[in-house]
Amino acid sequence: MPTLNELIHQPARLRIMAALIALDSDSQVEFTYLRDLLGLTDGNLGGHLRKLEEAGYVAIAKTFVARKPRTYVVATSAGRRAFDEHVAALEEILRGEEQSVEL
Amino acid sequence: MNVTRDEAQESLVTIQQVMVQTRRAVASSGAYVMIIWGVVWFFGFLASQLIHSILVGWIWLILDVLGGLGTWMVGRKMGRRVRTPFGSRLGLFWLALVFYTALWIWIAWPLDPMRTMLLSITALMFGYVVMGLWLGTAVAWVGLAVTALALLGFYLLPAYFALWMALLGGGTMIGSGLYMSRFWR
Repeated sequence: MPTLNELIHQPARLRIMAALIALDSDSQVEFTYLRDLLGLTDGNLGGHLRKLEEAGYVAIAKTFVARKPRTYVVATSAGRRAFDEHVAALEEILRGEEQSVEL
Repeated sequence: MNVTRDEAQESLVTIQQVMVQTRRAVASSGAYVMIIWGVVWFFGFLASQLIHSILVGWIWLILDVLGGLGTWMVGRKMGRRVRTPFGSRLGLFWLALVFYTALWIWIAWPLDPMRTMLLSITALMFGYVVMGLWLGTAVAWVGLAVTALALLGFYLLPAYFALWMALLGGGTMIGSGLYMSRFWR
């Protein structure tokens, strides 16, 4: 039975994961593009990404493009699995079974 | 804290909205390419309709080079935002399609100028339909609409075919591109 994921359930992190999962598994999104897409601030996005990275749900790569530093983010396979399970748990709740998660 | 059915539904709706928004934002770079080639078509076909000399070939060549440069710049900019192997495969697909279109024209030669235009248009619109399968059905619909318009113009208004394609073919691509860039961001 799929269970809700406390870390992913937080609204901003849910949106971050949804945006990353929407792309191919080998697609990396640039930090500022993701920030603008989700309407978050630098600090807010950075903080949530750090938590997701600590959980192994996203990987963050810093690199240089045209001599400018850029940060790219990608959902890991563990992150994709955790997200899928969270979505399955939400769908299960919709079908009738209420779940609880400590937030 | 309990997650109620309403909260679960709200979360699922949010997930769906963000996923659609993300895919569309990434695909919207294709909108700029569509606008670029709509402008190329508009001026190229307008020249084909109004100018009857070897100059038309040169106008098309210059417009195609400018269109290619614009496409490359858009692809480069988008490649910085989202790094994906899909981007380079997309470029290679278009190169292959242009090569095969030229090959088919060469095989079918001699062709009158109108049939050459129709063959090029339908082959490139086939590319849009294929792109639509990957990027979003709207792109495929643009491909199908322009193909239908090209066939209509070819059979019903042969004397004004190039003008037809400038206004409706180029216009459809510019209009669709503007719509996608405005609402898919």
